[in-house]
Amino acid sequence: MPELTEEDIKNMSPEQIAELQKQNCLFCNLASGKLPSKSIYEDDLCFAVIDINPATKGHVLLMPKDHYMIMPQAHEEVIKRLGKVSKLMSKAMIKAAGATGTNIFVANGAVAGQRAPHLIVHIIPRIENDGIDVFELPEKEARQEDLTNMQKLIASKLGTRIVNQEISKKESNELEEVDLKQVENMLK
Amino acid sequence: MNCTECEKIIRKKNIVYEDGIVIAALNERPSVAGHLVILPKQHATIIEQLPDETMEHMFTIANKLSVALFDTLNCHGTNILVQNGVSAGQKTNHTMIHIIPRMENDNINFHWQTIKMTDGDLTSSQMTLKDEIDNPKEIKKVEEKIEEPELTYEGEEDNYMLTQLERTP
Repeated sequence: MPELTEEDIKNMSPEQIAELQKQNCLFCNLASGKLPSKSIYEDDLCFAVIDINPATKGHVLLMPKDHYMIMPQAHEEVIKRLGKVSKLMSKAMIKAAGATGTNIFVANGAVAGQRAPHLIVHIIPRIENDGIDVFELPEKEARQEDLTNMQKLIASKLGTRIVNQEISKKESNELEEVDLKQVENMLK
Repeated sequence: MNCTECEKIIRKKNIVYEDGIVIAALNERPSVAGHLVILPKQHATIIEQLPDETMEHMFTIANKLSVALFDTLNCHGTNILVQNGVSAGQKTNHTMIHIIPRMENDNINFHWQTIKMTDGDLTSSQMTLKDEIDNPKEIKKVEEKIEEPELTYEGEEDNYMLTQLERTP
């Protein structure tokens, strides 16, 4: 393949760029079989391989065959399939590979810990005292007031009507007014 | 069944989404502000007890919530996490999916240490899992009962999965 200059890339259509990304994506090349992998599962939408740099023995990477960087780009059919196959993988680990638990993990974005340019569902077999502590979630105290503010914000985005006995009459009058500043501060 | 999460589903406290199959609510003890959990309405301790359709639906909703977090909080990333079993960090006896909005320097770190494995070890993992996926073994041979063998098998399998997980809620 001839070297592409920056100028070439600038003149490419979005479709051509997508195709180029796919060609250069390690995981797309695993999907197509261009690169060898330790495959354990394949169907029409997704495939799974053993991670060669595992967190624990038997760590599985489950991926869509199509190239998506993050889950929000993927089609609903693909996301559903990833859910179903995650369970299948997890079950196999517990039944056959001696795991007493599993973590199912997705990182959307570099800040979330994503390292590959392809959507990956990690399924990690766990046993007691295996030295993995990153999936122990830190817990913080939260004020009900802050939770309620956040609830209004996210529920309204999702179109959920809150018919909630926990919200007092006084609060429900302010239901529409969400203090964005406060939310921003909470995120810091 | 005495389950605090089932009670939460009934009370609908801090919920942001609900349909016939799941409920999504803010985690009362969040890792960061905006930390959500999705709970199946059907009581299940581990995901293996859930029907495939419920798992499919939970993933769809997890993605929906993840998109909503991007849109409302302007976070730069999201994590979706299941702690399936005590050894995987599970703290409640009702299975759930966590959706966590992420920002730079938010003091959450999901970077695990990788371990070195020989090609032989990797191949052995591959063979074990592939074999189980292609030809699932029956836990206990159901002896030639023509009457309702399915039911007996299901129940035994669920119990087996639970014993395996050594749950102590």
